[in-house]
Amino acid sequence: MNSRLGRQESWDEGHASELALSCLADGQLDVVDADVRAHVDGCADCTLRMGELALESHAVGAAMAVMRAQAAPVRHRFPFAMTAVAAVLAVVCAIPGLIEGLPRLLPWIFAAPRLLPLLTASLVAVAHDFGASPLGRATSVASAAMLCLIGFALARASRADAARKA
Amino acid sequence: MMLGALLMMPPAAKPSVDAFSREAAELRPLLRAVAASVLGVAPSHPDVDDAVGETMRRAIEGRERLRKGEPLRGWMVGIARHVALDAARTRTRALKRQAPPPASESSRDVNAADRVPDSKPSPFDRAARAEDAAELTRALDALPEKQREALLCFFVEGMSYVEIAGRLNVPMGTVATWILRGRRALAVTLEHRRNA
Repeated sequence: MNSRLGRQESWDEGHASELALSCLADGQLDVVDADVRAHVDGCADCTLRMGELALESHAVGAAMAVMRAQAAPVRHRFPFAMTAVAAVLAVVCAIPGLIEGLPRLLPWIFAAPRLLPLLTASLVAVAHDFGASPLGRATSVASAAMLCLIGFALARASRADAARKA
Repeated sequence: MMLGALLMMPPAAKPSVDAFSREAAELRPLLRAVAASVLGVAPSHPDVDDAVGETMRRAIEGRERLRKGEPLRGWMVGIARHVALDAARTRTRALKRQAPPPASESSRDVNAADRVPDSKPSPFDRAARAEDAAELTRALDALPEKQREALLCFFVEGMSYVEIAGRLNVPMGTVATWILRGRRALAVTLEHRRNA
């Protein structure tokens, strides 16, 4: 396969062709014959045309770089190493406190099976009373409305994001 | 100890001035063409030499700003464009301060002044906006598949014409034609957005 422009492709009425100038403007010097390059160096007309093509190439290249950067997905990597270090540090720092507080914690741990049903029953009773009161009903309606609003906002945000990515 | 070892390490190797200067010097003809084109004067004009010299100086001084993998050619063309635009603006301001020159000179200089862009952002600046990028994407999608592929290989993947010809299994001249036509179509799109 020929890796150079042919003479017919390189010349146009005694000057370098637009194709040859385009190759030079794109920095593809090796594909253009030396006599064409020498002509361009000494010809003001060809030099100016090459300059315009180089500016065009620069503008398009820069715009495509921006387009590519915008199209690239933003990746947020989970900081595994930092999290592991933090977890190890937390455990190491907690050891003295745990050893010291263990005798006081033990009665609570043993009492948990008895306390948990009692606590749950109390919470259910309070919730039942509160739900039946006017304030409880108003709170329920307000919470439902807030949930709807949050859902609406999320749907709009995801739509805008999808349009931006497209 | 580890921190100490890190602090004792020598700074990362910077590109040597000589090597960089040699590589940049090979781009002189292209930079001359760009500067002459922006200034709207003949390539032999002294202003063009000044602009190219200034471009080389800025590039060598700021060579550490060239990002890894960024092609030197595009980077230096960008600098040359800025330098030439600055020179053109300076010349325009000087012209405004001076008394009106003779008719023949006046028409030439007014043409040169007309080439200086106004306060509108350049295609690059505008393309930084999402809507411009979307427009460019649409223009790219409208191109024939092979043309689009050639453009993406060249501008995005940084492949040479010969490499693209090998990948697409077509003659190198065909690749050059596809890139020329595709790039022109995209440049027209950018120009339309700039004028909109």
